Order: sequence, then structure tokens, then C-alpha cells
Amino acid sequence: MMLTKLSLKNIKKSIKDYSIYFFTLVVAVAIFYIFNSLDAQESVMVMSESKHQLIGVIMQILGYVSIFISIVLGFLIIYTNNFLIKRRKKEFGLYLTLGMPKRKVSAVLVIETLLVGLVSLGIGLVLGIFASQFLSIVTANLFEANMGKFIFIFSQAALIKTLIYFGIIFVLVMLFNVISINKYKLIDLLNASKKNEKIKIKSKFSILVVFFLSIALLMYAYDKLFSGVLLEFNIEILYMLITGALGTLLLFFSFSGFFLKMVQFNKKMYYKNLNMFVLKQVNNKANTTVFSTTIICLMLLLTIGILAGSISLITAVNSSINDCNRMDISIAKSINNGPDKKNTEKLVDVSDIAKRDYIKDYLKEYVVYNVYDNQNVLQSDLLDVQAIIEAFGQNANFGTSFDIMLESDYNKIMDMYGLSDKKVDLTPNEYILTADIDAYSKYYEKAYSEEKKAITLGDNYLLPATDKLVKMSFKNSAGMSNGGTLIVDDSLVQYLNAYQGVLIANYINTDDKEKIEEAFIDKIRSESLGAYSYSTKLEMQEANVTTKAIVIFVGMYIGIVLAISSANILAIGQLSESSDNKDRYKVLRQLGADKKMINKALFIQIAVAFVIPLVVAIFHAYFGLSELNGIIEFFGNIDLTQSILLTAIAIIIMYGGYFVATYLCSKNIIKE
Amino acid sequence: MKKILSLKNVEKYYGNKGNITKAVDNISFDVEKCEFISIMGASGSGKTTLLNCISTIDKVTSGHIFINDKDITQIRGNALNKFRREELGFIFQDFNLLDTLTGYENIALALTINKIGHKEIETRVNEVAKELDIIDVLNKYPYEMSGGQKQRVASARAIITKPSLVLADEPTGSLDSKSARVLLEKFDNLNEELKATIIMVTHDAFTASYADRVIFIKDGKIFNEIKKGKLSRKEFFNNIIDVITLLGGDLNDVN
Ligand SMILES: Nc1ncnc2c1ncn2[C@@H]1O[C@H](COP(=O)(O)OP(=O)(O)O)[C@@H](O)[C@H]1O
Ligand SMILES: [Mg+2]
Repeated sequence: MMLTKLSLKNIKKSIKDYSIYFFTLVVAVAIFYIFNSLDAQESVMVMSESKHQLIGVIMQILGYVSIFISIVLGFLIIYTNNFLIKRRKKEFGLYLTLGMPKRKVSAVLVIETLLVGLVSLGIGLVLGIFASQFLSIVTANLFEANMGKFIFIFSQAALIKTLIYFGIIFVLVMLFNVISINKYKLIDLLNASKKNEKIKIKSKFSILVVFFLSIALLMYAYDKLFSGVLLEFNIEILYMLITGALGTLLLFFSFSGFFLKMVQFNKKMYYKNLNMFVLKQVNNKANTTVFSTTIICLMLLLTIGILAGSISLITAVNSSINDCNRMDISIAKSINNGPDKKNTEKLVDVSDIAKRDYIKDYLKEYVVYNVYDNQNVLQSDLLDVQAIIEAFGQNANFGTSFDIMLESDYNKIMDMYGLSDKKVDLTPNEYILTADIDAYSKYYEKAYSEEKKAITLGDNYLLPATDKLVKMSFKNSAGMSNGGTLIVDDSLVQYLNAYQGVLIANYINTDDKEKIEEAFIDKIRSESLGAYSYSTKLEMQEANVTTKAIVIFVGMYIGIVLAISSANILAIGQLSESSDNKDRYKVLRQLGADKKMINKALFIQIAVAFVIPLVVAIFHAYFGLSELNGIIEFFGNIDLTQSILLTAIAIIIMYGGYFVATYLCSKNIIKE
Repeated sequence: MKKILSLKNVEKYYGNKGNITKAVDNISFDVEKCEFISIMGASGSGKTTLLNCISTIDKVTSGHIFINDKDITQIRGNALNKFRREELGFIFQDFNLLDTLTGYENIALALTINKIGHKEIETRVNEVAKELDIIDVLNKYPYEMSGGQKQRVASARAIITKPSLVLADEPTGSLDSKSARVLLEKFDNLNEELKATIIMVTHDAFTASYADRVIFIKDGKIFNEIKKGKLSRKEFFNNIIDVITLLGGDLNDVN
């Protein structure tokens, strides 16, 4: 059929120039398949029932994320397609003048979209199926699952889902194409290529005004950021986002003009090689691309935020899991000495459990200790309240009394931890402050380490016994849980009120700790402990794996798709720019500019388009993440530099790849 | 006089086996320094192709072209760019000015590519602008200029590097007759006063009459050649018309 032939010819022609778009389509399909194929990976792995359930949860989350992803990809594909259609107006005008009815031109487009869709789906799925084999190794590693021998994994459900989602997107693309063709008038189509785009020259004054306005808006947004709106989480966040985005937009709008004027002052620089040409070129384009540049910048900001945030969260969870769970199990229960003692007489305390005979069947070692308090020793006595209010706002609460432990209990615990060097010998006039939540410890430093502030217990006046507070935890927990515990000499017990008994223990050595744990917990359940809570290392590790898996999968999924989407928009814009510039480069060649000079000019033009939004995004991301750090800190310790570095590497690989490809394709386009 | 350009049996074929167009078919001629030459012929006779071969934009199929005794059919790559940069100036029918640059910047570009300092650029641009009467449009962008002004800016750009040879392809093609006359008078000035050697392709007898010598080509071959000598432009114009009649009609119509 002639139409198909025409479509095929068109596609062949544009595939050469827009192979990057085709590549993005293929990768998008592959990624979509991969992150929906977890069910097939799971089914071939040997692992516990609970882990199977966790994967079920992760798949559900990825299913929701996929909806978001398909919306992003849908916009991306429709946007790029519309962009390419607009560039082909002249070609369609030619078809119409040759007497081809609009209906047929639409048909050509429909066939084209169908072919592009089918081919990219086909290649993308094959790529996805192969790549999912690698992802299964990651999954198996995460869940410490046994893969057995290599089995080729294929998920029919993911295949069908990919076909349906992308099918819908391509049908939408077809509709858009047909509508836009029918909207065009022949005269517009034929005139489309006549470039009567006037060069807008903005006056020095207006550039300056806009530039300073953008700086003012950005300063306002940053001021809001630094005042801690992210932590307060209120309507001000919206103000910050709007002024920040607007400021960024105006910055892009005015910066190239501002920069151009600056360079023009330096004639030597301006009239050197092709500098003048490149600057004017970039400045000329900046007006028309300012919106897409801003959107790309914000998308990159989101990408960096998600990737760096994910990495931070993973390292935080990872680093804390062992510090927070120093024993196999901890059981805590309020002590039965309250006012309604009568009702609870039949109940036992953890100290009674420790006397049971069965204990030795399960536990290798254990410590039972009490947690005390004194209504006159409050956390606010040692916290830097002023600094906290500044950072967190007025709603911070510090009325709680300190947890207090006795020196002898503390030493026993240190023995069990294998930290005998941390054991202490206090006089009745000394105390030690321990904590492991960074968000707290840093506000204790001033009172404890610098001012050596005293506390009073009864008639005793106690001073800090160590230079720095001790980072330590005494129970298992998912994250840092010790927000401040004092250690005092045993002789002061008369001033203290015991409110909680805790049993901490390690299981006997065995290959199957899970089985021991299950049996031991059954035993505990059979005791009449009343209200108690326990927390085990194994459970925490399992929860940790889930958190990690969710963060890794969701972070990678969204991060990759956003990165390739923004890079793709930039690449397509630059490629069409290059074909517009063909004639300009031809003039340069006629004037005798050599290849090196011309390629350098091209390189700078493309580099500016790619680098400027990235630099601005990194700038915003760095400060945004530093603020968010305060939140993540509650989960554990993180190294922001490391996560930013890792994110930068990931971005440079993906985004940089697009940059290099765009440069190479553009070089080809302007070569005549 | 010194020979600046010399064509020896130049041929340029297009197409492949079975379907060959001999766009330029065994053409030889010499051009002396400071000559103003016009190449005339009907549309499709091979004028542009010939000019493109001389300007190194196109490669010859066979034959040799010497500029200042250098065989330009044998140089390639950066040497070729250097040659274009230093020895040639181009003027086109559609001006080929860069729309993002002002008149001044368009002219200066030819010099920045030659790595000439900004101070010298300034003196030379002003000098040539005065010569071509375009001082007023130096700060304008091409879209703010008339066709004649654009062509004079393009001409300024072509000669500012002091090339041995200025090549113009239908420079008056998109100008009205008044602008065309102004431009051609400027060409005459350039030729007389700045001693520029000019080769101009045209199908218009009036335009050709400004040259010292007119070479007629037909179907890729030299058909005739006439010199102005001591004749007035009017007389020379009449001579050109005679040859055109001999060639078989009005070249304007065919274009
Ligand atoms: N790139 C090309 N490929 C094939 N044939 C060409 C090409 N350029 C010119 N020709 C042919 O060469 C002949 C001379 O063309 P041209 O030099 O453009 O003529 P003129 O400039 O005198 O109008 C014409 O027959 C034209 O069709
Ligand atoms: Mg021609």
C-alpha cells in the first residue's frame, strides 16, 4: 500500500535524526516492564513465607507508582510527538497540495504512530525481559533469597500491563495527531518553514529588572526554606515552592541576556573566534525555551531529591539497624507498683521471667534492669531549648522527665554488649548522659559538654562524669530510640521511682535463630505479663529489608524515568535546534571556520542547554536536602555528601549519555 | 598582469552510470588580478556549479583549478578551510546573513574567524562600511534592513578579509533595479579602488555589463567571451544582448 510505504519512508528519515527519542521510548517500555515483573522474580526464589508477603506489599506500591510513571511517560511521549509533528508541517502541506485528502494524511500519521509504537514496544519488551534477569539478582540479594540455579524469568502479567498502558498512550498520540492535522489550514502549513521569527532584543534595563526580580524571589524562597518550613510542613511550603519556581523561571529568562551584556563589555572576549555567534545563538533561543528549561530544571530537582533522598534513607536505616539492635530480644513492661497494685497482683514482672527454668533452653545470656525516673529531673534541664525552638518552631515539647538507670545495671549491660571498656565507676555526685538520637544529642552537647551543667537528685548535686555524652541504646528498636538516659550511682536509688522493667537477652548459638525466637516468644506469651512489648533484632532486620527494597525500587523507578524524560525533552529540542541551525553553520563554513571551531560552537550551545538547568537544580537540591536532613536524621546517621555524590554519578551517566548522544547526532545533522 | 585564477579542463558530472548530467563540461579560462568577470548563461547552464567548484564548496570530477598557482583541487581538510578563510569571499543571492547578529557583528564574524583582534576589527569594519555606505545599518539586525542593505552588508563581509578572489552568485537576483544598480556601482568601486578581483555569476545582461569581461556558457561549455575594453557600459550592454540573441533568447525568461 502506498500510504504504508510513505509512512515507512518518513519514519526511516526521522529515525536517523531522532533516534534519541526512539531510544527513550524503548528504555521507557523496558523500565516499565522490569518494575512490574517482580511477581515472576519472586516465584522462582526460595524464601520464607513472610518475605513473600513483603514482596507482595512492594509490588502493590510499585503498582501505584506505575500509574504516576505512566502519566509522566504519557506526557513525555505526547509532548515529543507534538513537537515533531509541528516540525513536519511543511511536509503535510506538500501532501495536501499534491491532492492528498486530509483523511489520508491523518491515515499516514496513524500508521506511522502504530509502527513506531509496535517497534518500540517490541524492542523495549525484549530489552526489559533480559534486563529483568539482572534485577532479579538484586532482589535476591536484598531478600537474602536463594535463587537456586539460573532460571529464565518472564512475567506474563507485566507484559500484558506494559502492552495495555503503552497501548493507551499510543492511541492518545494518534488522536492528538489526527486532531492537530485537521486543525491546520493549508496556508499555515505551507508558510510554516518561513522563518519570520523576529529577533527580540530586550533592553538592558528590562533585563536588569527581571534579573534582580528573580534574585529577590529566589532569596525569599530560600529564606522560607532556611526558616524550616519543610519541618513545620504548613502552607508556607507552597509559598516557597511558587516563589522558588517563579524565581527560577525569571532567572532563566534574564540570565542569558544578562550574561550576554556582561560579555559584550569585554570586547576582546566577545569578538573572539565564534564567541559572539554562540552567545547570540544561546540568547536568542533562551526566550522561547525558558518554560521548558524551567520544567526540566524542576524535574531534575525532583530526580536528584528522590535519588539522594533514597540513598540517604537507605544508609540511615542501614547504619542504625545494628546500633539500635544490640541484642537479639528486649522485653519491656511497666512495673507493678502503681496505685492500682491490687488489680495487677496476679501479674508477673520481667524479673520473674528471669527466674524461670526454661530460660536456659533459649537464652545464652541476659540482663534484667529497671528504668527509673524522678519528676524533678527533666530533659529540658539539659536541652538547648532556645536552639530547638529556632529549628523546629514553638510546638516542640520537652516536658518529659529523664529516663534514669543505675550504674550497676549499666555495667552489666556493657558486659553483655562486649563493651567492657565502657564500664564506669561513678561517685554519688556524678552522672553520665547517654543518647543515640542525633536530633537530640546535638542539643544536649552545650549543657553537658560545654557548660557541665549539674542536676539535683534529693540533696545530691551531680556533675557530668564524661566529656561527651555517650552514644548508646538499651533496647531494641526500629530506629534510634534513646532520647536521653542518665546513669547514676546505685546509692541514689532512694530518690528514684522504678517505672519499667526490661529484660534484654541473646539466644543460644544455633543455626536457626528464627525457630528459637518463635518458641521463646510463645513461652513469654504464656506468662501473665499483662501489657508488655518486645522487640527482636530479626524482626527489625526484616522490616529493614522491606524499607530498603521499597526505597530502592521506588527511588530507582521514578528517578530513572524522570531523568530520561527531562534529558529526552532537552535532546529533542537541541536536535531540532541543530537542524534549524544548519544554514547558519553553512555560512560559518563558507567564511572558512574550520571543523574544530564549528564543533566547539555546537558543543557549547548544547552544553549550555544541558548544564544550566542541571546546575540550578543541583543548587536547589543541595540546600533543600540539607534542610530535609533534619528529618532523615531521626532515622539514623547519614552522610549527605555521599548520597549527593552517588546521585551525581547516576545523573551524569544517564543525563550525560543523552548529552553526548545529542552532540554526536547534532554534529551529523549540521554536516550537510 | 598576474594570473590569479586558472581553470584547466574542469569537468563536473552529476548522477551515476546511465544518467549523467555534465553540469560543467571541459571549461578552461584564466582570470588576472583586479579583473571583474561576469559569467552568464541560462538557468541550468552550469554557472553555479562552476562557481561552487572554484569556491571549493564542490569537488571537480576532473581537471585542475589554480588560485595563486596553488592547485585547490588537491587540498583538503583544515588547509582547505584556511584557504577559504584567507583567499575567498562569498556573496549569495539570498545574502546568507546570520539573523541573530547585527550588521556590524555579521561583518566582524569574518574577521573573528581569522583570529583578528577587536581593535583592528573595529577600524576595518568602519572602513568597509563607509566604502559600501552601510554605516547606518551596522547596529541593525538583518530583519530591519532592506534587501539592498543586506546585500551590501554581505558584500562587506565578503571583502573585509581582503580576499584574492570575491565570488558572487546572482548577487542582484533578489534586489529591485535601483538597489541592484547601487550594489553594482559598489562592486565597481571595490574593483577599481580596493583592487578586488571579482567573479560574478548572473543571467541578467544589465548586471553583466558592469564587468570587464563576460564569459557565456551553454550546457556546461564556454560558448563565447567578450571584453569591455574601451567601450562604454551602454555599448558593452548592447554587445552582451547580441550574444544572448545568438545564444537563443532572453535569459531572464528561462530562469
Ligand atoms: N547536486 C546536484 N545533483 C545533480 N544535478 C545537479 C546538481 N546541481 C546541479 N545539477 C544539475 O547541473 C546542471 C547545472 O546546474 P546549475 O549549475 O545550478 O545551473 P545554473 O546555476 O546555471 O542555473 C543542471 O542541469 C542541474 O540540474
Ligand atoms: Mg544558479
